[in-house]
Order: sequence, then C-alpha cells, then structure tokens
Amino acid sequence: MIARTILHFILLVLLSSVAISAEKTSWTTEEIADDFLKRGLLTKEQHALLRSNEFLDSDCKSDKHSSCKPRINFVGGQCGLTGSVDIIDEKGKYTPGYTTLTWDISQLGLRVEQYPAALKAFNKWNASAEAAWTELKDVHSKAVAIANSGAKRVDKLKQAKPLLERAEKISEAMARAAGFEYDGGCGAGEEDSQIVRFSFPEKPKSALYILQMEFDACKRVLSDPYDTKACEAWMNIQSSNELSGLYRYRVVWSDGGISEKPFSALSKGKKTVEVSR
Amino acid sequence: MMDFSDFVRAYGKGAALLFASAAVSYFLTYHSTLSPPVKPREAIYAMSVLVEAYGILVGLNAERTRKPRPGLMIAAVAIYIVSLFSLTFLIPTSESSYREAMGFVCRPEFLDLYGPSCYWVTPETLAKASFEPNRIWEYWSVQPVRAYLSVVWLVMVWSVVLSIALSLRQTTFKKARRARSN
Repeated sequence: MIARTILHFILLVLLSSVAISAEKTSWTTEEIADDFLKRGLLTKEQHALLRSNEFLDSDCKSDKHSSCKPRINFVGGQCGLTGSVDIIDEKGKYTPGYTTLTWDISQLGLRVEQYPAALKAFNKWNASAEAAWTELKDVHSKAVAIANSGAKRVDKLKQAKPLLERAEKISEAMARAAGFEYDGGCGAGEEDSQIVRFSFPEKPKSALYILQMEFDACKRVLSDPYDTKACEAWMNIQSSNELSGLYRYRVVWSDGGISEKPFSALSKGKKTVEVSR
Repeated sequence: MMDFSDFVRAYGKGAALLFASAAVSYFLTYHSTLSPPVKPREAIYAMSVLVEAYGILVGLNAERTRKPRPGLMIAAVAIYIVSLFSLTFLIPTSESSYREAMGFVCRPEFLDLYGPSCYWVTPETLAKASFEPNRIWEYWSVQPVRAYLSVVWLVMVWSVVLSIALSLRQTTFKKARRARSN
C-alpha cells in the first residue's frame, strides 16, 4: 500500500513536471544573445555588450526561429514608462493605473543603466547620445527622489507625471537617432499578433497608424482626430509592427501630401502593406 | 501480497493510458483551437494531466460494481464544445490558434461608440477592438467565462479518462489476479 502510494506520488510529480516543462515559450535575453552569436548575427564584442541587455530583441515572434535577426527595441518589451501616471486626468482625479510608480521608475532605471551598452554595441554612442542619456539619468534621479519623499501617493504621481513623460520622449528620441525601434504599447500579446511591415515609395515625413476603435473614439470626442497630440493613440510606424485587427495609417509626405487608408492584420505570419501616394 | 512485477503489470495499462491521454491533451492544448481561453497554456495542460492521472487512479481502483457511463462522457464533451464555441472567439492572427473569452457586460466606452453590438459581437467589431476582450467587455465579466470554460474542460477530461479507465479496469485486474493465482 505504501509502495503504491509512493509510486503514485512519483508518477504524478514526474508527469506534472514533464507537463510544465514540455514546451518552452519564452527565452531569456542571454539565450537570445547566445543564439544570435552562434548563428553569426552578433560579433563577440556585441554579444559581450548585449548578453544581459534587456533591450536586445529579435525581429520575429518565435525568438529562436532561424530567420530571426537581432534588433534593439528601446521600449524593452514593456508598456512604456507612464502606466502609473497616465490615469490622472486634468482635474487631478486618480484611478489606479496598470503599473505602479516604483515599477515605472525601475524601468527608467533599467534604461539609464543599459542604453549605453546597446548603443555602444552598434557604434551609436556619440556626443548627442551621451547628452540625451545624461538628461535621462537626471530625470531618473529626480523621479527616485519623488518616490522616496514623504508626500501622499496621489501627489507623488502628479509630481512624477511630467518627468516620466519627459523620459519617454528622451528614450524615443534616442532610439530614433540611433535607428533603433521604439515599439511600445500593451495591445494583444505578441504571440497573438501578426507582423506587419510597410513599404513606401519615398521616405515620408511622418508615418503613423491607429487602431480603428481608437480612431472612432477620437473622431467622436475630438474636433480633429488627426491631431496626434490630442489623439494619443496614433503610433509611429516601425520597421516591424505587431498588430491584430483593423487599423488605418496616415502618411505625410515631404511635400505635404497625405495618404490615409484603412488596413488590416487578420492572418498569421508576416504581411507587408504597400503605401502609395 | 502483490509482488512488484504483478504490480507493474497491473498498472501497465494505466501508465499507457496516462501517457496517451497526456499526449492527446498536449495536442489539444497547444495545437488546436479547442483549449480553454487560459494563459499560460502550461497551467491548463498541467492541470489536465493531474486530473487525468487522478482519474486513472480512481478508475483502476474503483469497485467492481462501478460501470463506465458513456452518456455522461458524451454530455460533458458536448457541453464543453457548445460552451467553447458560444463563449469564445478565435484570434485570426494568433500563431497558436488561441481562442479568447467573451464577457457578458459591455464597457460603457464601447457602448458609446458602437451601441449594444457587443452582446452579439461580429468578427468586424472584434477586429476593430484588436481582438482584446478588455476593450469590449468589463474585465470582471470576462474572468468568470474563462473560469467556467476551464472547469468544464477539466470535468470533460475527468469524465473521458475515468470512463476509459473504468472500462480498462476489469481486464487489467483480471489478468493480474490470474497471474497471481498461477
């Protein structure tokens, strides 16, 4: 009886551990970096700088897929830095955000710590990058001071809001200057999205997209739904975009011409949207 | 007293059934559109295997008078399939063919924009909302649907495995008894 019980128990433990470890669905940055090194997509020097860098990313969903290439995404797989403070409206009314202030500040800290290595790995660490990074570092110190102050929680959020928004802008500018991705947002999970790329006949002045539902909401509330400052759901088109559903793009050309059209991401795999003038 | 070789022989079929059912539920969980809308999928798979293991133990150790009830098994499968297809939608962009749960209370923001279409949602409406239930329905009304489907899935797994184990039991133990008496 005892032998049987023990055997049952061992069987259960074995099977449940097999079940849990049966399919590995996520990879650590180290594993991704090692894989890229093995496939010759990163040099040894780049590998050393990027191995534990949270901003190293791969350009496709299944990180170990043989066609994946390394890229740097300065958002680092997070939703951005303002999850805790986005929820304060003009009247100062507060509802709990989807992140906490300390989480957002710790993410900013990670950027301060790891952006230089990411930039150095691709020879993008120059005087202007260093100046932007110094400002980011300064914003981080101020945010840490606010988090440690004895103020009320709502007041801390109000004080931190402009700083975190500033940090977001600096990060995005740094990414753009280096030609890196700044691919944020907390939409459908990556694995449930389609990779959408855009092709342009010429370099546009600006290229944005928006989810149809967000556009309809902006159209309903705002006098100008194309005002990207008022309608914050407009996102910059990246070289690779993980999307799912119905969207519309709006491209402004260098001569001031505008192309605007709905597009969809409704199937698996990759897709290229041809933008015409 | 049963010696170890008898014991292993008696449980051979049970082990085979366990591996077979674990393999089937692995396929259903990861590679079909039939798994319940729960993430991570490892969670529902691990629970399924535990339920299967326990179902097999109960089935093989059941009293002789206990008979498998195929009607109950078919009813559990039917309830799960009907519930799944009426309470979930397929995300067309999902590489892993993930089905997401619907909710039963619409968000006021959604009602403002598209009216009560969330109560009888169309693929176009889902696409406009990026197939994210939290844009359409209140979060608290989606969670019970996920929980309900998970429970029905586990009940279905339990009833199927138990029925098979019960029908295997007699031959398995008869052989073991015969082996012991020889």
